[in-house]
Amino acid sequence: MAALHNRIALFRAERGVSRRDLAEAVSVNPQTIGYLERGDYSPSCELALRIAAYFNVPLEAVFSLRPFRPLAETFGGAPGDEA
Amino acid sequence: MTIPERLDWLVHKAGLDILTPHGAPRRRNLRFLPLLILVVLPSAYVVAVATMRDPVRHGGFGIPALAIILFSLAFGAASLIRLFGPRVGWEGGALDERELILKARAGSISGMILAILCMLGCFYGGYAAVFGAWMPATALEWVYLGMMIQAYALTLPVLIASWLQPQPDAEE
Repeated sequence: MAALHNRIALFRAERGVSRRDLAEAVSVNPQTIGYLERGDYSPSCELALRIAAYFNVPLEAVFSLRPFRPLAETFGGAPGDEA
Repeated sequence: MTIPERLDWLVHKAGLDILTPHGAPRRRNLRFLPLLILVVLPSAYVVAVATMRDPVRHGGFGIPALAIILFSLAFGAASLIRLFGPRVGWEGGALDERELILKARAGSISGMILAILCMLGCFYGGYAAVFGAWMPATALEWVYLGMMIQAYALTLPVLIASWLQPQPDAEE
């Protein structure tokens, strides 16, 4: 089964939200957030939508069927490029 | 999924990534109370059955009575243990979707184990008469056997669910 990739940890770090806070906001066990971040569990559509809504971003910004491009690559150009 | 990705996935699923410097092992919960119940039940049953049939030879009714008390205590604990399930680190209300899946998985594994044990028991029962091996004879022996299967059905899912759920890390 293909893994569902996500950027939950990234969004959490950016917003300064703990796993426990996010878990409380989307009504799951904090361990479930850890499972999601490690890719050990793929969320239901409802949970994925709730997480995206919590961060106020589109679903595809948080979850993807393909691996997300590293931010350094997205915004910083290819390795070795000068800014 | 490319071959390296597939190999990574396989290593992760097999739990082999804990061997790498980056993979800290996640401690699992091996709960000793369910394990103790699962050991005490058949042990007490065997002692009770072995001594009840000929109590005089085994020093009176003391030993069978003790075995039945132990069996009853283990059965009582098995009946209550589901109330103190495997959930750790969260004081929330209803089980969330992952926990429900984990509960179903634990129940499924436990059901499979029980089915295999019952199947082996049937094979044994079928041939016990042929070879003159021990079989439950009295109504009480059959009733206790049934109670033991029921207690296993109650306790095994708790033990398996505890094992399937690693302990929470510092942030959880």
